[in-house]
Amino acid sequence: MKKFNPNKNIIITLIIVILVVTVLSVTIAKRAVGNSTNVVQSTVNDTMAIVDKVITAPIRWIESGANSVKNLFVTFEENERLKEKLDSYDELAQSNENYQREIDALKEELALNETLTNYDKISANVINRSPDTWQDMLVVDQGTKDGVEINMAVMSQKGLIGRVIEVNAASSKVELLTSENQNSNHFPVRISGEDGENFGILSSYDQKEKSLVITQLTGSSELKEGDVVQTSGLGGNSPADLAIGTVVSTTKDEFGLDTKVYVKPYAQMYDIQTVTIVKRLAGDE
Amino acid sequence: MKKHDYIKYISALFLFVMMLVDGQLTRLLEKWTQDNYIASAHVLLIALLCGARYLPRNFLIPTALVIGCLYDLYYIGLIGIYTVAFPLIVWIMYLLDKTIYQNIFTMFFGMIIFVTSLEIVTLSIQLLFKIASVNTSFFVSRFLAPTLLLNMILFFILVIPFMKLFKEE
Repeated sequence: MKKFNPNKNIIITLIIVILVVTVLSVTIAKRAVGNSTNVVQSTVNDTMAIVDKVITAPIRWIESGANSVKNLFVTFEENERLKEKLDSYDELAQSNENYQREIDALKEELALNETLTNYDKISANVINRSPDTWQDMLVVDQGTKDGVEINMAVMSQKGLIGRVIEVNAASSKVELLTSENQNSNHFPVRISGEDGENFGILSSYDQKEKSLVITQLTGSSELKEGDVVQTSGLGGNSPADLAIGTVVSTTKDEFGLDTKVYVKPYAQMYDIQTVTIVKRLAGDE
Repeated sequence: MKKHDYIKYISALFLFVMMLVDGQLTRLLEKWTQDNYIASAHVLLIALLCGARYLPRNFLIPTALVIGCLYDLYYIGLIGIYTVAFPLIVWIMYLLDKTIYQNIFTMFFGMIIFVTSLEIVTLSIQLLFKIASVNTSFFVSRFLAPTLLLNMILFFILVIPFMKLFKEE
């Protein structure tokens, strides 16, 4: 008969710990590199997405019902406000059309097919959101078969909200800008003020200020509150001119060398039902 | 057919659905508080707590492992955060079963401890691997407090139906 050996438990624990650390490291590395997922992972995720869609459907139905009742109450006010705006709308639309025609003509002249501002759109519904607070992720219902690729920019109706971090055959995951993931790519941005442009990198999200933080600023023009922040299209993943937000304030970082710019995003990140995945056309890879 | 025979299959499926409900509830609440407070629903953990009272240990720990693995794959895209946390917590539930399951209040306090430890275990794994960063005052005041409050409410609503479900006739 064998005697009970206390070392056995220690060895088992050690093996488990080593196993967990290995698996976690390998999967983190894989996610950071951004290869498409393997068959097993893709199938599991897609199947769960289908089940989740069934659960989402009645909840969405109730939500949209509540929303339409709420909308009913504000309709009158909104109508008044919109009427005022409508007067100038036709003129604006017409001049917009003229500009577009002029841009097309000029591009043809220069034999430019795709510039940094050209992009394709893929619309997707949000199925679920990660309940883990530190990984701000959405699961959406479009995947490789719809043309989604890793690192594409993702917009809501009002502005940029994140990027694609994992793609399966029929579903994918979107990492929001509010995420604290330190390993992911950052968006290159341009801040346009009255007297020029500054470039920087959208590096993190400040939970206290509820604003995005731009660092590594280059450019000499003065920053003012209300300056518009857009993607610059320089990084190679996102097209240019996607709206992000407006400048709220600037501070020096703790060493006094770099300027930190706080940006209030146009889009809210807590209630997203549909997203637009943006595919950059110029300079593919 | 006795309930004992098929309760395992039902509860595995039930736990899986609870996992998805967790996501939906958290999303709804985030919308409702407009991102001022973050409260994660842990219906799955409440279900596991009720399940650990009646179901055999050799069934529930592997189930928690599989569910945790799916949770990781579907919600995070990594394997090893909830895959570790769920089986670990279920194992502790079985270790402490004499203390926890005396009456509904000991279960209630058990739930508070388990929710807190789940959050701390998962967060510390993520901090260790540098896939998250957080400051302490934010964690306690805007996250842990609302999360505990939410789960206390959920516990009192759900504990009796859940116990009925897992109870053997």
